[in-house]
Amino acid sequence: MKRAGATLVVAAIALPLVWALLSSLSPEARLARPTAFVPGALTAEHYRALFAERDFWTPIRNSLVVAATTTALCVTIGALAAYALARLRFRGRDLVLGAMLAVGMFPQVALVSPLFLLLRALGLLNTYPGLVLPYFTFALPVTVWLLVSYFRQLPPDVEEAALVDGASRLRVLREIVLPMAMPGVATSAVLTFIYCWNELLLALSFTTGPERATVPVAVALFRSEHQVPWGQIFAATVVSTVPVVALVLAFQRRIVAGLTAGSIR
Amino acid sequence: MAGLRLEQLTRRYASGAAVVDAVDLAIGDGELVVLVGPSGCGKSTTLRLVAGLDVPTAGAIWIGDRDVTALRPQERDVAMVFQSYALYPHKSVRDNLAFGLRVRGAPRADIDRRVAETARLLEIEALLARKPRQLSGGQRQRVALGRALVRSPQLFLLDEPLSNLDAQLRVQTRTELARLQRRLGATMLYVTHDQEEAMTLGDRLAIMRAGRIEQIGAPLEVYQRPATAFVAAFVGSPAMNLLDAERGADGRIAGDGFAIVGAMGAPAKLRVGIRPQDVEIVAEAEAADARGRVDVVEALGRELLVHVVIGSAGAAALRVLAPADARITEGDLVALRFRRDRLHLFAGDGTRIREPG
Repeated sequence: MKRAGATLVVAAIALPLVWALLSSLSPEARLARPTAFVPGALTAEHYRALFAERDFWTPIRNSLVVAATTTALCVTIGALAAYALARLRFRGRDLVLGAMLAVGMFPQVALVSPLFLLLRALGLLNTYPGLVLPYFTFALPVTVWLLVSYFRQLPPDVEEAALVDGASRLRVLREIVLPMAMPGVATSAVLTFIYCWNELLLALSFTTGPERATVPVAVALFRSEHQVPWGQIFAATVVSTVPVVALVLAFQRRIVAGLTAGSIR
Repeated sequence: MAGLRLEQLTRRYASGAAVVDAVDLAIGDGELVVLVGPSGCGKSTTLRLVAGLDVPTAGAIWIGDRDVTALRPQERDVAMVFQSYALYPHKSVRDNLAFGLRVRGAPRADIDRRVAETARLLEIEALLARKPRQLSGGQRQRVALGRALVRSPQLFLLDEPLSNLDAQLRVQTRTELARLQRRLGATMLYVTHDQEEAMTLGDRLAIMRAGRIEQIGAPLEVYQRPATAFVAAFVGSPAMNLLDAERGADGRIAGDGFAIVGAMGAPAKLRVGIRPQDVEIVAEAEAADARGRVDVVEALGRELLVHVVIGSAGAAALRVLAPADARITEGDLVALRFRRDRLHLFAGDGTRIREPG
């Protein structure tokens, strides 16, 4: 029963991916027919076109730069903020947490126009910072909330031991808390990266040319007036899944519970 | 090493309730003082105040000739052993020991030497490469101790360091800890709720209750001359009997089920304290202070702990220690005599009013 359920879930998750993979390898002519799902002769033509006829490396590079920068910033600053919110007692702490949640609830579409004006005034349209800054703003609340709840689960004794041992708060955070909170840090890093990697609305609005377009923007612009190159879109989908999968696999070993085992009792 | 002095140390909650209430305590250089009391008496909070992990509402803390009241924990040069051990889970035993030296910027060679020395002292050399999760409870306890020792701080603070060990290991480690403390001449403030641990370890005990220190003194002094009824009941095992009593017109002290003949001057209302080993079971013919029925007999091995109901039905039983070969069974009627020179008398407010003897 359990096994059947697991199989069903895996199948449901895998089906679109398998479909995309098969379609990306099928000739364009077959994709238009209703029997497209039936496998036939395979071709790597769409992948060749993706990198030879279009410059798909540029959007991949753009996406990597933007997502990696945002993630690094978000986790660093988010960890500092979250540690203060989790451990220090100060006036208005709950207010800060509430305000952050409120920011995260803003409908992004309502913010596109004001942000556009703001970024234009700052001369940041069509630049990396022009994407990193808004992404950072939207991803930070989630990171902080996640890390606050993670930090609060950690035994305070261990941090106090480090303080008595002579370490500064910052050193305690870096050398004691973050390693213990690695599963939480890795989770928030992956979530932030995926958010930046997949984001379309802001990227489409704030990039004005192909030189700074991210992967979702580039794929959205594949379609022309006369045709939709489905094969290439599927190929791009498959290609753009690779970094995310690689990232999750790389972090998977770190996202394991029980890192504090043996510390107390 | 240095001494520690607490002056009118007070910690209040926002509600105004005092967890630690005007505590005065002085620990000499190289002395081991045990702060002992029931849970919630403020002993752990006192320790945290000394460590700098909690901030006092009033009062001062002196380590040696430094006033450390306003200093952060990092600047106090104290080491603390936590009840939970609080080892760094992701660091090896070696790095756990070295951390405190490393953050203080000790030279590499110095760190290696001191870690090795401490590991040898505690016989944990074979464990240096392991992570805390690969250690047994006793081994973790030694590492926690080692992490404190390695730094040679001014003062050691120990918060119930043995409470997570099983009974046998606890007694063994206790002895070892006492030996280590004497050998190093370490100044220690040791917190426990276990009066036996306190008695055996401490040069002096400070018995706390509801945020205040009830008595400070050497273990035997506290045992033989408890300053209050609370201390009398807390220190010693099995616990001292405390009986409500009144002084009669003829000078006798009498209460529910007993009357002490030939007793001395005392206030009208008082409490009589007598330790279980100071109550004798006597032949009926002799002048007895109390008579009662044996309720329960517990064999402790070396002796019997006999619970005798002397008062009206439902009154607390009197604890009496009898020789192991005494023929006493439940339901027996017995006559009891209190040793006159071992009576402790306490006034209505609990303070001691008379020397024994």
